This record gives sequence, C-alpha cells and structure tokens, in this order.
Amino acid sequence: MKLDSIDLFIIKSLLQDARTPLAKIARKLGEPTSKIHYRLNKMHKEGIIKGFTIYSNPSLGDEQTHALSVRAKVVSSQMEEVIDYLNNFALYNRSIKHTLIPYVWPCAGYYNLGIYVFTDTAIGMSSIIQLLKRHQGIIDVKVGVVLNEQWFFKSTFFEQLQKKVKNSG
Amino acid sequence: MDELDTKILRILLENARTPFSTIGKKLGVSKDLVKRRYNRLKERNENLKSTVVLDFEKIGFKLIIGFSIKVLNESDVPKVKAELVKCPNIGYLSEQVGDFDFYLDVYLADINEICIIMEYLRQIDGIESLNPWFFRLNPNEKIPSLNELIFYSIK
Repeated sequence: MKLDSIDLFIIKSLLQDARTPLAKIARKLGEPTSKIHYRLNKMHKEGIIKGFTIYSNPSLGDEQTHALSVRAKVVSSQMEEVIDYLNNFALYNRSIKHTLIPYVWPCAGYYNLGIYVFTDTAIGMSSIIQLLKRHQGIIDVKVGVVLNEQWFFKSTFFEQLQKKVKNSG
Repeated sequence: MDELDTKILRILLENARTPFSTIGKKLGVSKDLVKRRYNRLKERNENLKSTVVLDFEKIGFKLIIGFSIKVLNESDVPKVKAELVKCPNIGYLSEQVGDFDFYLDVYLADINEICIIMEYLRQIDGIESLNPWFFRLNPNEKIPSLNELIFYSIK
C-alpha cells in the first residue's frame, strides 16, 4: 500500500493520541470523516497499523512489582530447549510464586537470548537468577532491574514513515 | 489507582480506542464513570499516553539493535542518559540497576545506519561498554514493557 500525506497525517495524529476522534482528524484535513475511516481501516487491513495501546514514561506500575531485564548466553544447540523451559517456567517451577516470564526473544551477539521477568518478591528475584545460572544450556547471565523506561514512538517511527513516503514518490 | 482503574487500563492496553461505553458495559459501570476515571488517571500521570502501534517492518525498519550499556561511574548516569535520549533512531531506553545501567533499542531501516549509531554512541563520555546485540524484527513479537506490570496479577 502506497501511503500519502493524508495517511501520514492520520498516523501522526494517532501517534500523538490514539483516542483522537476521526471526525477531528477529518476536520483538520478538510476531508469527510468517512474517508478517514476508510484510510484507517485500509492501513489496519494492510497491516501497517497493528493496533492501539497505552504507555507511560515512566511506568505506572505497582511499586512492589519489578521487572528484570536479563541477557543470557545460551549454548546454540540448546536454544530451543531453553526457550521452551522459559516459556513454560511456571509449569516447571511451581514452588516459585509471584514470578512470571512473559517474554523471551533470541538474538545475535555474545548474549543471544533476551528474557524479561516480572516478580514481586526478593525470593522470586534471586530464585529466577539462580535457576538461570544453573541451567545447563545457559553459559552466562547478566541481570538488570528496570527502574524506568521511555518510548520514542512519535519521533523515530514517524520520521521513518515520512522518509518511506518521500522515497516512494 | 484502584481495581477499577487497573481494569480500565487493562482494556486500553489491548485497544486504546475502545469506546468508554464499551468499557463501561464490560465492567458494569457507567460510561461517564469510565471517562472520569480515565481523565483522572491522565491528570495524575501526565506521562500516560495512548498511541497507534505500527508494524515496524512495513514502515521500513529492518532490524533492532539493543545495547546493554555500562557506565564508568555511577555519577555518570544522568549525563550519559541526557546523551542517550538524543541517539539517532532511538526506540526505547530504560534505566537499570545491576549488571547494566541502561538498555537502549535503536531501529534501523538500513544496515549502514549502524555506523551512524556506533559513531554517536562512542563519542558519549562516561560509557564503559556498549554490549550490542541484534534481533530481526518479527511482527508477531511483542516488545516488552515495564508498563505491563500493571496488568499482570501475579499474586
């Protein structure tokens, strides 16, 4: 799908505030609301837009719950087994309560696996770190407790989209 | 923030354009109450935002590089952070305590952009190591967020 300035304006408005009424976007563009609806649905159908969400810089999270950002070096031949273990962590470790591993993602580099852990106990935190370090498929582990985070959707992603539209003529 | 606020935010995390009337019906409260709670949450947290989620590959990005950054001295953290937020193509930055001090994601449309990113990061004073790692964008892969702490009931 070739994007034009109308699509860019729609995306820019929704990057700023996903709850912007389409009628408001239409008024600013001097276009009928039905056209904006159509363009939005088309971008959704084409997969350019995946959805709408909320975020906070920094997090609104409960102060007692913490996220651990873990980098692991995994033996390549055991990557699948390690990922399966982590994805089914709760099943394999019923004694460790209040700890979840929502995300695991393989990558390239010295540390070839990223792991995100949520826990709200100090025991949960140290248990998960010990388990990772003791797993036979994991050679090295580095851990950071996430304090806060920032997303840069509006600047970086919109700039990229503008470049793409410009280059496609 | 109470249970109702959490439930409202949980629905908006899945789809931030969900009408307040729909949220109200789902939670058994009035649309006006939902609207008041949402506005109150926004007033109390000016950083609460809603946004459209784009498919990064379809808008032209090919690769994410993550950097697990260690600073030389603790006292360098604020000044390093001030420089990291200006990094070209920055997508995400988190401050951490532990083996690393920051985690930075940059999004690349072209592999050659790595040179620009590395040049920028190497000139920042106070960084001990960058520890880059590469992952291909998978449209089905969720990018983890500390925000989702709100929504995991793990008790």
